[in-house]
Amino acid sequence: MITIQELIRKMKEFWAGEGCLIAEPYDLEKGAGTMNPETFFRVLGPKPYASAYVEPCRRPRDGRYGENPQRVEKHHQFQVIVKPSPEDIQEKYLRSLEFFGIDLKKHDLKFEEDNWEAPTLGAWGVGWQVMLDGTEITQFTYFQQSGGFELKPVTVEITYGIERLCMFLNRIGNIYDLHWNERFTYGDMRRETEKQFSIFNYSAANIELFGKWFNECEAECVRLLNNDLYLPGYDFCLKASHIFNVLDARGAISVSARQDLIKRVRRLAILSARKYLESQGLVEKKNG
Amino acid sequence: MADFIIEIGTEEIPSNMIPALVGELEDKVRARLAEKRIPFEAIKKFGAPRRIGLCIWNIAEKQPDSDETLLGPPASIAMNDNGEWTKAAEGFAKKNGLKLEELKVIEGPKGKVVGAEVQVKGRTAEEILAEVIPAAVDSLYLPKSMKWGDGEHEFVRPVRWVLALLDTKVVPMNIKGVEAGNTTRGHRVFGKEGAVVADPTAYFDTLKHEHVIADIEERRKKILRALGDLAESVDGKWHDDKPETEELLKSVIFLSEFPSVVLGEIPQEFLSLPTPVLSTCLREHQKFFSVYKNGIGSKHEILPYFLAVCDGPRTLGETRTILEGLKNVTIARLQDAKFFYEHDKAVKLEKRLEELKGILYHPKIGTYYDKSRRMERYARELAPFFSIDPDVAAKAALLSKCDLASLLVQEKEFTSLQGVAGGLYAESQGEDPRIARAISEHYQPVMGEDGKASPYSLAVTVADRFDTLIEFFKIKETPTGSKDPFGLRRAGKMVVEILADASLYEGGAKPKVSLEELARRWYGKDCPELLEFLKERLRHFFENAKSPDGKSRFQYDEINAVLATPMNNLIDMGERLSALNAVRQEHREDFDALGVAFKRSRNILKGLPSYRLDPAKFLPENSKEGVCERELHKAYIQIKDKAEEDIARGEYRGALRSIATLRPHVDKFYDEVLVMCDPEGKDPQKTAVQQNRLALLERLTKLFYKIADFAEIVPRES
Repeated sequence: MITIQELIRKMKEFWAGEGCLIAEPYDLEKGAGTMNPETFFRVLGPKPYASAYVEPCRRPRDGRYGENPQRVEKHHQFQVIVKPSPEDIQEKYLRSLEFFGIDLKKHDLKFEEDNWEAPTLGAWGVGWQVMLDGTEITQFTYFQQSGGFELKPVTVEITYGIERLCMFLNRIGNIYDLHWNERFTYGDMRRETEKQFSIFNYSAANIELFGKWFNECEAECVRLLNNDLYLPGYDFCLKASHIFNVLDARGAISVSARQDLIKRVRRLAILSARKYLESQGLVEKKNG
Repeated sequence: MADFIIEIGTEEIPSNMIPALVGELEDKVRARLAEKRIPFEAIKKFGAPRRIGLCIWNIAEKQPDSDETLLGPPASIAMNDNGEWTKAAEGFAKKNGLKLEELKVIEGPKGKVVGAEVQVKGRTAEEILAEVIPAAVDSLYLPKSMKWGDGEHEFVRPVRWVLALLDTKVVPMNIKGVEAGNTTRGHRVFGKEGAVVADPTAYFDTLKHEHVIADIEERRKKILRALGDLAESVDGKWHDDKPETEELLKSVIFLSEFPSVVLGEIPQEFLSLPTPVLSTCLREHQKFFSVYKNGIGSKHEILPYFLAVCDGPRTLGETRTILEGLKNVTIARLQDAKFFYEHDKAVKLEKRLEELKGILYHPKIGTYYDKSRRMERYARELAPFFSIDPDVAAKAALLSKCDLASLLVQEKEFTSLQGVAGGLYAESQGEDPRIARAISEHYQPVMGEDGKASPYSLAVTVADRFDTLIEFFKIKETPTGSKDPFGLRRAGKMVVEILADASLYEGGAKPKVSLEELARRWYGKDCPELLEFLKERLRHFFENAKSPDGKSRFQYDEINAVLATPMNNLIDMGERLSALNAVRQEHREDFDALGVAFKRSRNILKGLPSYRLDPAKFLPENSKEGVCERELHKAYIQIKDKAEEDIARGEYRGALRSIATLRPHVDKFYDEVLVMCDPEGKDPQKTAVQQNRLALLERLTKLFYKIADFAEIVPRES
């Protein structure tokens, strides 16, 4: 049995060996490792960069009260970004799988087209979902645009689903049966959280309050960005984005309102990216 | 003669793009080589997830030499008054590597210039390929392209190696920043990098040694054989004759470089799921084929197995490991599907109607609730034409979109079950089977075991598509050129096919529905654009009709002749067209002549009022004109009643045979009689004669206009 914490250790070890800076998660709620400023800002502009980190991700609509063996409100990604994308990045990635203990000759490996898009971030990329014996274990993406800006050079993003991969490695079908370490299971660590947050997301969250917060975060984000404080400004973009996800899960967003809210979050993301590029002298100054 | 190979090595190209890419690459290279006048025997295209390319067999080693005329500066500058070459001429000679003696004065397109006749040596195949191949690759259409690394190049996926060999020699070229060499890469896991290819003929074997089957057809056959064998091993078959299954096959051919197929089992507990849900889940989530019980018939009963195409050579033990993994994921997916299905089944479809108010159909058109309500009305109004119960048809239409609010259909992988899912829920909730079937089939009516479509399914389908057409024409979002984002042409095609295809209703009631009347009523007023659009769809329908020998059944002018009449009952239009086509073949010359005569009549009658026909006003029989017009009138009277009767009874052949008998009289009339004998209207007596003749022509034209406009018939050259 390979535990979650052992897998994470190996991931860090492997990618540190490939020259990546090993960063830590960002301390705000978010839906994907891509939203960590470590990725969001670093992919912009010409400076080479390489880092890797664990990112806890919250997706309110995926909550299943701790009862579904594979779907959870909060899971963990291991995010690797390298700019510019190296020529042998796929081979490096496959070596990482072998390093985690997968004998590729004994499994069915496929790179299936899956183009990633995050409308709220004004970001999209081209790539694959990596399938191992039918399980999607990784999203592999060449970033083409982020915050509405074309990216050159191009960053490659490798996102491992830590739980998925760990389940695969241990041939375990139920996420809660994974072991975090030798003494504690994933269920010990996470089931109660899943239950409570599912209740929260689907029925307990205060719609009125969250609606108000969305507007306030949006206003605060714009105010801070217009003062060129792109880092704190972007924090409020992240907060607005998560509030949107909760409201969405809570069933508080109508079809027509949904598009509008997505557009509003995207505007914040695009302005954040712009302010970062302004600070680097890469685009002309303009307030939003 | 030499052989050439180009292999562009990439990261995994999306499976659905590879066939188009290699096909276009072949076309572009063919065209460019033709332009360069360099002959070759054959081109073979190949492609797999990590490579696309071409072999060109027996290409000439160089272009043929050619004679060319080089043109330089005007003679007035190039030659002085003494007839000696000037500096300008010397410069031209030097630039082109010519001696002064070779220059002469040539009459160019803009007057006399200095020039020379030279023989141009043909360039070598190597030179031309080095130029043509990268240019062809750069000109490929990429539905979705990307950049990588420093962001300098753009292609469908990053290019990682290029193999370009003319016999044993590397043809130097650069494709998307990668220099060509003489090596390829084998299978990602089972082959090696940098496998040397001796020459183009060795390519496929070299790669096979590295566990890659680059030949598309060979991979296809290997997969087909394995699917067949494994399905047979459990007494089943894998193909259900569905287009989705064909699509899946196409996709798996390009998802593996060395395909092998494994057979896995589905736990019994999931067999309670309806076949469409089960097979869609396996297909859309996992790219698995389902296995069905052997036997003929439209019902496909599923067996508890799946077939998965894997990549790489496999031993039995490895297969077991893989299958265990595949099964785990599959169970999780099926559990989800089962959860959705059971949950949805418990919600009455009618209750979902309210939820449709929250699902937008189109921002300018409204929600699916609005659409359902319109469809309800349309189906009710269509019911009499289909001889079906209006209440049942209306309810089927009203409920047909309710499954859009179900958990199952809202899942990305199950969207293709729209309609089918609703049908299943309706059935399980004890709804009228006619309603359940119509809901299930309203995206695509299906022939039942009796070989007939259900009229309820047809009515709901027409209500659905007609509504789509009406609403999009109202907001002026109509197709232009190749752009048809809302699939209106497809919708129009469906409406026309259902209303025009008599074979759907064999033995049953054929709908007596007027397309023009429906369009007017539902649009709220006349909409000429919509009618014109539907007429084009109907034209395609008639044009695509084939006779048993595989040729087009109808001539274009016959189609035009029938389409010139109002679009009322489309089945009736088809019957008139068949009759015209058949009788015309019996009486070819008569119809050709009548076509000319009717066109003449149409031109004469254009813009004129109707006049009263009075046989007393024909000229007396002692004049040639009088004889002719009286004879024509007599012939007309002789056939008129029977023809009208025939037309009323739908006996179009009889009516058309009658018209054929008119031909000699019509010919004679036009030969001898000047219809417009008083164009200025000066002589009241002559005016009366002229008006009487016009009246006769109008009667004749009108009699047969109920079948077709004969003025559209174009004589055949034979």
